[in-house]
Amino acid sequence: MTQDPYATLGLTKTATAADIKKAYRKLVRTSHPDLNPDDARAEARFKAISAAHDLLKDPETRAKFDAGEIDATGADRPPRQYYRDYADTPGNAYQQGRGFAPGVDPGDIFAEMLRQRGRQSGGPGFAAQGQDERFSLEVGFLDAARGADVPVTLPGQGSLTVKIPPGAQDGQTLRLRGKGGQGFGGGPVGDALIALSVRPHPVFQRVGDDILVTLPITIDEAVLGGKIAAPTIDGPVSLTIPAGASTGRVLRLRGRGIAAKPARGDQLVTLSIVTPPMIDDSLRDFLTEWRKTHPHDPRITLLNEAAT
Amino acid sequence: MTQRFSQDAALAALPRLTRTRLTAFIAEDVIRPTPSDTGPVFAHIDIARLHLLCDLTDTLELDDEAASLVIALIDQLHSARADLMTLLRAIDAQPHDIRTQLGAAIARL
Repeated sequence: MTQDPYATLGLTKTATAADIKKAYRKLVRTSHPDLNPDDARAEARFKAISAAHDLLKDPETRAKFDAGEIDATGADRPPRQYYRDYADTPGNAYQQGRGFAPGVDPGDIFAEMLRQRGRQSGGPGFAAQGQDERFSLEVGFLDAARGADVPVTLPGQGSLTVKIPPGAQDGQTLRLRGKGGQGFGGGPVGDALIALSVRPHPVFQRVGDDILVTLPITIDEAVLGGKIAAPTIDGPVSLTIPAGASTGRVLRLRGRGIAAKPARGDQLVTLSIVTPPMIDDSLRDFLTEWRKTHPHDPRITLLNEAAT
Repeated sequence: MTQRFSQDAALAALPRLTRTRLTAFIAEDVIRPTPSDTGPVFAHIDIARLHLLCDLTDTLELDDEAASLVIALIDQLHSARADLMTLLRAIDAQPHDIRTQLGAAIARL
């Protein structure tokens, strides 16, 4: 910020501390990005007035600035994110009664929106469905991948079981019919909308419908190949390591990923060669001898390419 | 996956917020962290919302109840905006004839 902080707050150097506070609060109301979500320039203004206020609110720094000892730049404020940046994200648990709820017949979408907004003419016999209520639920990676029945306690609804469908995704919303707010005038009860967040797993990673795993193998397994046990989301399966496998080689376990339509995803296993915790004399001696007669440099191409 | 904050990490990210006030905001259902085995878990949206609550209470000197009311109104504003944007995008994707008809219908209202 290079501007005069007094000018930024609409003040002059004669302003009192009370003037500064008053001017700042007034500008916050008109420039706070969350109080002015449709104003694209609000954030820049809010930053400038906050920086100006930071400088002038403390009599000591203000006196230094007035004496020309420090300039208006001051220290950078840490970057901050505003609620409006998140308010529209799917599964926002704070959003109530969105008009375009999932699972509505396209032909009824406008009627549904009017219903949600409660703007129907409220004549005699007026009845309306209760509001949808939003909740968030954290589920384990494997529960989401395989599907599970998860017991939850919803405020006002007591305990119930939520059926997590196999392959449920982070951010996905489940609708529980009739578990939301009470209806009005004999109208039906609203729905509960449950936004899922999936806990990361130390071993498995999900990309689309595929599961990624990095699998450590020994030097002898890499050289000789062999059958080893590989973890999958449904338990360990046998995996054949081809002889001469290198770190980074990816083996595909077809149909061992997330259950999906039309076809189940795969599990992709990335091999990673791990040396034994103790290198004993026999291994060291063997490789020392072997090296003498087997010149092999896997970096030749790489080094040549790096030089071009 | 979205980044998550423990209660201690959330308090560290928000120097203006005390533990007592955070507990009160959760009890009042103004902030809804996700429960977990290790205590409440906060997402970025919760942190941003707590920043806003601090601005409302510290800077604008609203009491906590007034701040909750303001934030509830902001939520409704966001719902209405999101609906409006969805509607506008849907209409914008329609053929010219339909957009013209809708335009005429709006002009009549």
